[in-house]
Amino acid sequence: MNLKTREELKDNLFTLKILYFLVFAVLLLTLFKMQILDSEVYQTRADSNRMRLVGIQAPRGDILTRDGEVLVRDYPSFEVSLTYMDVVGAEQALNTLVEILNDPEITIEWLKERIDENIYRSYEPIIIKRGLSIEEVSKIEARKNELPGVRITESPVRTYLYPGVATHLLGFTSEISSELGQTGYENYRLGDLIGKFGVEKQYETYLRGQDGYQKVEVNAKNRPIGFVDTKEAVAGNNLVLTIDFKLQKLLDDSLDELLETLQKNPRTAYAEQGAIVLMEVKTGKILAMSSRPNDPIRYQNKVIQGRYIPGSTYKMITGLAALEYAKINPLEIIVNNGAYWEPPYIKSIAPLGQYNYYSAIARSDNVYFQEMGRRAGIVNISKMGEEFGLHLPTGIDLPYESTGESVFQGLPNEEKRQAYFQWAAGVTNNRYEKRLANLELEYEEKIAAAADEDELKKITREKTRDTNILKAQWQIDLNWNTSWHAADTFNVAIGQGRQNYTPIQLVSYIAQLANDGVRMKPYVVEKIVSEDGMVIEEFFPEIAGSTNISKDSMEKTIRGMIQASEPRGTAYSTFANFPSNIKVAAKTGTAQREINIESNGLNGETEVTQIFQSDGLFTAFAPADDPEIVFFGIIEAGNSGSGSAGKIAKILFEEYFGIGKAGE
Amino acid sequence: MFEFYRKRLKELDFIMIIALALLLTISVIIIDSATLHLSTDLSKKQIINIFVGVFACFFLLRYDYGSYKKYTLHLYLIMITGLILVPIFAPEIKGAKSWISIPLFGSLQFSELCKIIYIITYAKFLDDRRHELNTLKELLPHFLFVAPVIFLILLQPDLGTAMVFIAIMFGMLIAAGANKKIMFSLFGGGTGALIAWLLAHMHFNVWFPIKGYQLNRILVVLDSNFDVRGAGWNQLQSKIAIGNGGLLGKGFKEGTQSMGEFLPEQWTDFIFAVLSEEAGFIGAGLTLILLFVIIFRGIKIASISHDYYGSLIAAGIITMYLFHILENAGMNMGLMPITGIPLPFVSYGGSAMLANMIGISFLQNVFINKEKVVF
Repeated sequence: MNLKTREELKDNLFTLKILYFLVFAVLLLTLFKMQILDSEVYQTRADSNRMRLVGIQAPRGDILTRDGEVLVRDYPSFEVSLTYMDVVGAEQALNTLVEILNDPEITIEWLKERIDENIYRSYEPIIIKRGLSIEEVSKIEARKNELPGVRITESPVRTYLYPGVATHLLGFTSEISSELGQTGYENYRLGDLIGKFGVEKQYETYLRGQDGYQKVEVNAKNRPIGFVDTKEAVAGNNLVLTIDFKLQKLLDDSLDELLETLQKNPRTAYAEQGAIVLMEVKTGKILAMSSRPNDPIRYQNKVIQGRYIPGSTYKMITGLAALEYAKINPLEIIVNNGAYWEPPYIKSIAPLGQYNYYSAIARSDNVYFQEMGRRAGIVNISKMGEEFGLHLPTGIDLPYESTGESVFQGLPNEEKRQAYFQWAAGVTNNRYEKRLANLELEYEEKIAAAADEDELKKITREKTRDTNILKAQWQIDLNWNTSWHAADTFNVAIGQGRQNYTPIQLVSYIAQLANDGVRMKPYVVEKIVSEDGMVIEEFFPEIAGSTNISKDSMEKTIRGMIQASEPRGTAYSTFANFPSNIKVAAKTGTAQREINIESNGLNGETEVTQIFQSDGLFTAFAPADDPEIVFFGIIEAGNSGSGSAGKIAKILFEEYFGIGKAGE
Repeated sequence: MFEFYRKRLKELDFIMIIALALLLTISVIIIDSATLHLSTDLSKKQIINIFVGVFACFFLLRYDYGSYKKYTLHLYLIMITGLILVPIFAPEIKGAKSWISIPLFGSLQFSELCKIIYIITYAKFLDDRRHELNTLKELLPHFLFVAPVIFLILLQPDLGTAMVFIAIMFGMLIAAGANKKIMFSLFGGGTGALIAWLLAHMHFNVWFPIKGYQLNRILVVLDSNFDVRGAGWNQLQSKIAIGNGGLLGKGFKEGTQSMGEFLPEQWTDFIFAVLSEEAGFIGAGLTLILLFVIIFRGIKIASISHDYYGSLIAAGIITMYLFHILENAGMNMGLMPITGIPLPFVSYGGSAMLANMIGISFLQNVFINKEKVVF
């Protein structure tokens, strides 16, 4: 190669050298930027790429009665799950698993579907079946070699140890749904269990444990390749209820039995629902509480959610109002001739004869209490109702207590009456406005069809007349519908009419009467105890309200109630066998209700017929001289108080005071 | 024969040999790590690949590179015939029909060998026309020379390899002293035309010699959010792996991206990402430097060749290396679209190793026959 060519060559190669050096520089600088300058960003990405959290479900706390009986507990249950497996490679394993489980729902197709659903989260085990039997567990363990990727794990399962006992009070848990995303539920994830009803809901924050997790390192296909870190789950706290196990169990058993017996009797064939509560007078602790039906679909704790017309159990309010505000003489005689002498002449089913304050309560005379109602007036009656907290929810520590806010509910005090009148005015005006408009239309047509001047004049005259009549009717109706009438007072005075209360409100009012006018707030949870027995929180009796009415009036009223359980009293038969040292103050009641009866008609359609039934109400507390426990019960369509709820009161009181046992 | 090699070995360019030896060591180690999750131990196979390459290297050293000049037409025709016949008879492997099986040796990717044949034959073609490279008209025969080769490779279809052939031609043309203005405007124009063609393909469905997934790989470089589950995902994982390495790397067999199989084909296409993650900037930077030592030694060899033919061969080979490095490291870092181009001397693969080692043997051949009086 000559010199000139060599020079040319070097020149040409220099261009190449520059170009290739640029490539080198770009690559090295990019590498420098990625690995030195931006490394942190990529390292974070790499970590989040491969770390997955797998939750470990924490057991919820136990729920115990005050005497230490466990009602609800999380028990470990065996579940079989699939950790990552190749569908193709593990076909045989899946077949074997299906064969062992022998469950019509668990088919090979179903398993494959689940695996496909989980394809992007395959580090998470797929739960195939929960609550495995011991036989299934041992079968799977025995054939472990044939079942790669199949794993048996333990997870807590909520177990209600006494099905049918305190069902509504305890409530239930289920997977979180509408709560997700709301404030206060930030720590919940899809699939978490949450208390939905009863104390399970009310004490959710205490009962719920802290879920643990396993930090799993995964590869690009999300298969686990190692465990990085484990945080153990922390069990939830235990609830100790105010409930007495024996009494509660007795209540539930005898209530079921009673309803069954009643249903056999044609007079009480529809007695299927009811609410019973037994409470400590001086503390407000609930000793037993039951609601029927035990219907998991229309879950309703009627003790706090049901609203009932109180019937004669309300008469003590009327009586106290008469004593306190109308200053009646309790010994004054009022004669029962079968019905009250003022319209609408409401009947009394009490024996005909002479009644004073005490005997009127004992035998539940409607004439006497209508007269007392007339004398006290609705203002004073409702004022007395407020003294006993009947206008307020009790604030019991259970969710969904009825507040009685609607115009048709609760105590007919001034506020409620006005609200009702407003509503009634609205309805009345609406109706008459429509009728007036119709009238207008009718006459417009007539005017249009008028043949001559004379007929037109005649029609116009008629129109003015009809309009005036309608307007006058309107005014009369409006006045009637928006004012309180004497008859309304009579109805309210005997516990009927436009008023209703929850059993928990009614038991509170009776307890307040028994407790010298001090109303205790009812509650169901005594304390919260940690898993290792430390008391986290303790709940003490709380005063919900008190009254300024005289003790004398209350004592007189209680005297009437004691007489009710004495010979000739309405509750005499109920407590006839009680020893004389344990006096029971009681009151019976009935309230009519309209119920819909569904039956299958001839054409296979459901026919609905409406019939009138009487709810049986019963309340009692004992010992009357130093009250300890108070009972309130309602059996819907139970026909009579002593014949229905009264029987439960008897059983519970006998158990509480140990009556009838010693002799046996 | 023994005497011949004893004499020859002393004359080799040892700087290049040392750089090469280091690269091959890195290769074996990193393939061991990258294939930990596979049932077959590819690092041992790679050692065999290296020995086959070294053997071929020594075998070819026996013949002066000038002796091929006589057979360039034959070689060219063998190459074209092969490119026509291989896709017809070869089985399809990884979407391409470019593998031929050789008894006792295994399968060989014919297009890898074509790169070498192409360089030898084109060097002769170019050397004969070295003084006629100043107008487009004069360059036309060169395009006609390469056109059948590129056309046949595009039919496979293998855009990446076709680009390698174009790059080699450009490198050799520059080394031969072709008009620089024309060269650069051709490069610019070619790129522009390619983009226009691409756009025409996307918007008007004009034929384009690549498959849909390959097109996505190109588009992903322009927009990293494109095709996040497919090509974009691979490139993103590769970038994460490289960045995750940091200065010192995660350590041998400790790369979380590599061990977690976040990188596809991580023993060939994404070997650079594995290396970067486990050996860090220190290791990956060193690898890049070693590769460029070979390239700059290659340029040096080209400049001291005793004839222009040898210079052109050297320029062709180093351009081949350069384009492979640019494409492979570039796609690992998200600068270039994903293609199946391996990293020279590092990626696992017998055919590429053989072709690259033959390249080394030619560079050394030129070095041995260097002009002794110039200096």
